[in-house]
Amino acid sequence: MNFLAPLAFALTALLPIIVALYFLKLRREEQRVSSTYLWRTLVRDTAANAPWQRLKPNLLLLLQLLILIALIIALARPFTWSDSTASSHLIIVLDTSPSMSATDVKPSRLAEAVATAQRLMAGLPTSSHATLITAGSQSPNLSISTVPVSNFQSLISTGDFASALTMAAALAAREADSEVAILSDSHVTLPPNFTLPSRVRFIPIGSGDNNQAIGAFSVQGDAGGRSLSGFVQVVNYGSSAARRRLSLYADGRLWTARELTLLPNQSQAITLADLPANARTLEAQLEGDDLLALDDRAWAVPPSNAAISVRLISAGNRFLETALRLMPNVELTVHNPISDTQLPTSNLQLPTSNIQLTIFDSFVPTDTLPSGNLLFIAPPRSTDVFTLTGRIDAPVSAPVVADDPLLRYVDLRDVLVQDAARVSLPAWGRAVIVDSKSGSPLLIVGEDGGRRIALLAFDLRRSDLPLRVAFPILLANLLDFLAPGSAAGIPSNVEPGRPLSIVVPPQASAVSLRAPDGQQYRITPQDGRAVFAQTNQLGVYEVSFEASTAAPTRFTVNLFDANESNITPRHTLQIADCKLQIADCSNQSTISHQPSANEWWLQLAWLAFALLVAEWLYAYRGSVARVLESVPHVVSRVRPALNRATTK
Amino acid sequence: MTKSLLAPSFLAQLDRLVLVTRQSRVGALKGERRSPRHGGSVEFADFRAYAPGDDFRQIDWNAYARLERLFLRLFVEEEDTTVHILLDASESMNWGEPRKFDYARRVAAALGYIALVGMDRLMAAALGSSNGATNRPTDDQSMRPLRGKAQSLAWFNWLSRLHANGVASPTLTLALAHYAATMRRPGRLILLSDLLDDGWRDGIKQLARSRYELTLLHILALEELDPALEGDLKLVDSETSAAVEITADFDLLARYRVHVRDWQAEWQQFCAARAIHYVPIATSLPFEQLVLSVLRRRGVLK
Repeated sequence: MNFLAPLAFALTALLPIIVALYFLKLRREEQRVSSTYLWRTLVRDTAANAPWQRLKPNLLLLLQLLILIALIIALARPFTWSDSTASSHLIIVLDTSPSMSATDVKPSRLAEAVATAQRLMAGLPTSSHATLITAGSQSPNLSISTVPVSNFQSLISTGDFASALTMAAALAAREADSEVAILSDSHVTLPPNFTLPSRVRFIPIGSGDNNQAIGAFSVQGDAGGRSLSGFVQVVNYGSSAARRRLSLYADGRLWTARELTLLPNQSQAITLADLPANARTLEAQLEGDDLLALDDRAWAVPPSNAAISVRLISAGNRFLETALRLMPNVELTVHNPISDTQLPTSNLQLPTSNIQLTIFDSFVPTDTLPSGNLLFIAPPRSTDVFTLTGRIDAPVSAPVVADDPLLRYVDLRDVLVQDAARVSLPAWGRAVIVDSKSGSPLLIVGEDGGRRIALLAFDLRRSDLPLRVAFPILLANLLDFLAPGSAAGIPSNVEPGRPLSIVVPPQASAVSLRAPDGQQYRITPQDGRAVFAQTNQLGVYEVSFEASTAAPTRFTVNLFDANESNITPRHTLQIADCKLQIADCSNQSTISHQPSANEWWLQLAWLAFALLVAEWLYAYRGSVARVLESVPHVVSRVRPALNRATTK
Repeated sequence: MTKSLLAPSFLAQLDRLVLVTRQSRVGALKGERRSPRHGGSVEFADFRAYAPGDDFRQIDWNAYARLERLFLRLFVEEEDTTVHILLDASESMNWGEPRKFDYARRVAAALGYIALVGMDRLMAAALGSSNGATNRPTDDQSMRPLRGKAQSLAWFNWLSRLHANGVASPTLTLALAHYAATMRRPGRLILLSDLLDDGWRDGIKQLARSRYELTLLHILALEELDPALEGDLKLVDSETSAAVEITADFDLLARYRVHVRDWQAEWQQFCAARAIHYVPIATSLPFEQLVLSVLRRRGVLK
């Protein structure tokens, strides 16, 4: 307990004055008795110290002293340091990603984080206000609306942590005395070079790490189409070994089960052969308990045999054409932009064909880009979706992220490129391969307006990449991304919360989707595409097309995210140069954390007032008792008069 | 005045009562009390062998005829006894409703009347005088001996003239000691007091040593046994004007009541140790019930 105005304690000198006044003021009523003989002996027996005996039974004096003490302490303005912020604007970034549903803290990490947010709110000075930003609110089975957040002045929901921090940074930039509090288990991915312009406090949530997850689950058909084989990857993210049973269900019926012993921090791959060929849905399930149940189930649908229609617009590229023709389930259509009369240069919207992917090789149309996914290779000029700013000589290819799925099994070492176009990174895309010298992107992928786009900045004919093993693998990976294998451009598996762009057959009037919980969605397509964003639930989704002969298709939403499944709490969060730990961290070194002071004078003033009322009631208890006794009498006299008045 | 003390109908009831004496004492005059001496009453007491000089009239000739030896017939002597009534007339007795002094005076009147009816010699004095240091009863406060029912009016008149305005302390012990020393016939002594002074204890010790057959009637008012006090009070002694400051709350009053009971029990033990007849009396008890019932039950009267 500290005091803002300790000089007020000088007023304690009034205490003995009150006592002295009490002695002076006390006029005992004289009462004549026959003899004080018995009283003398009684008082002599009990009164060791007469003055204090006089004080002892006097409740009034005690109450008056307490009132003065309470007022003096209130005037001294006592306060306690609080963990909450002293800032005028507290921005709380609340992680609602799937890992926050772990139950290592009861009832869940998210509930704990919300409770912490409420505590931070309660400790705010009265002049301050707070904003709650949820990060990852589209995570499966988590909704911030289920927790009480009514105390927050404003509530903003964002899709991912980077967006949330960007929002927090924007809000913090508007008020100098802001503070950002991040409540997370730090299983978040932040963009590089991200900074926050205010004080930042990181409050880690969670304590346990016992989690086993299905990291991958896929089903492939054999060459004859008589049976299916499955591949399941089970990962133990915990620090101790675990025994789990892996059960595989085909259309809801148990097909097979395996007992697994999983070593700490190791994965185990299981291949399941001879799965029923006619199964429509396969589900892998880890029996037993761990801290995160979301990743204990995974679903897969057998791959569709529907061919992927790919259109190549090229003046002639043998490497590319050969590689595409060798890929299974690819129906390739090649157009020469110079000689092909079927290719209208003004408009590339081909009349009836359902093209899922268009590849522009060293060519871009002058007019509107066609619908469907696009792959640009060595574009000669800028388009609506990217901008060329020059050329790079002899770029050195290097991956941006080592374990990027698009570069899986792709070895870029010693790949020679003569030159490439310098492309500024568009807002929709991310760089997969960059020039290690200039940092200019060489391969960009992303989604823009519901369609997937990829751009390779160099001409394959001016590189030795087509001569390497890496080329067909890279092309296959790109094809998986741009035309994900199933019909209507629907990939067999979708990340939770990620919007899905569906290529709608021309004659279809609407797209119907049925979520795993049975809820039906109906989407009217625009520009030949329908975008479905409610992919929050894990499980199997069914897609059908109204007024179309196109076969219904299915896709799954699985939490194959190692970052979320690895629930080991981290006590640091790296943002730019600032490694946030449990303690506060500020990007501005001059600003240090200032705990807030909770003042108690108001409570003490109320206490003094309550004591004053009690003292008054005690002093006039006789009068009060008489008044209370007279109430029934008054009521009994008034009631007949009221009754008479009511009757009249 | 007599009428105000005792009603005539009540006096008629008192005629049938007798003061109980546990010891026979030598009296001065013929009376109705059995004397240790042998005398001339009609009640046979004993035989004794004749000795020269004895009264021939008391020789039992029938015994001589049978035994041929001379024996004297002895008869019980009946003499009077002296009844002393000491009345506390200190200011503290002038208290309560009814006033303790009035109550004590009526008890004294009744007991004295019974003594006079019983042909006993009655002596009385009021203690607690305000006449200086000796505290001896003055002529007004000590009564000349009375005897016989005919003297009852004088007895009542003497009582009626008394006032409770004296001070018990500090010479009460001396007064009692003086009384004990000056009375030649100790006899039966009845003391009526509230005992609200330390001096009573030593004084009663002196009386007990002087072979008085003591009866102590301890009279207290209801206001003293269970005071109805409340709040911060300054209690002023009616005799000495000494003050005691108290805060009369529930706890203190409860302790006071316990204290009074302990005090009475202490007096009970004190009296039992000295063969003193101790009777605690509250003035709330009807006077007639006290005389006709309680005192008979407690063996003071029969």
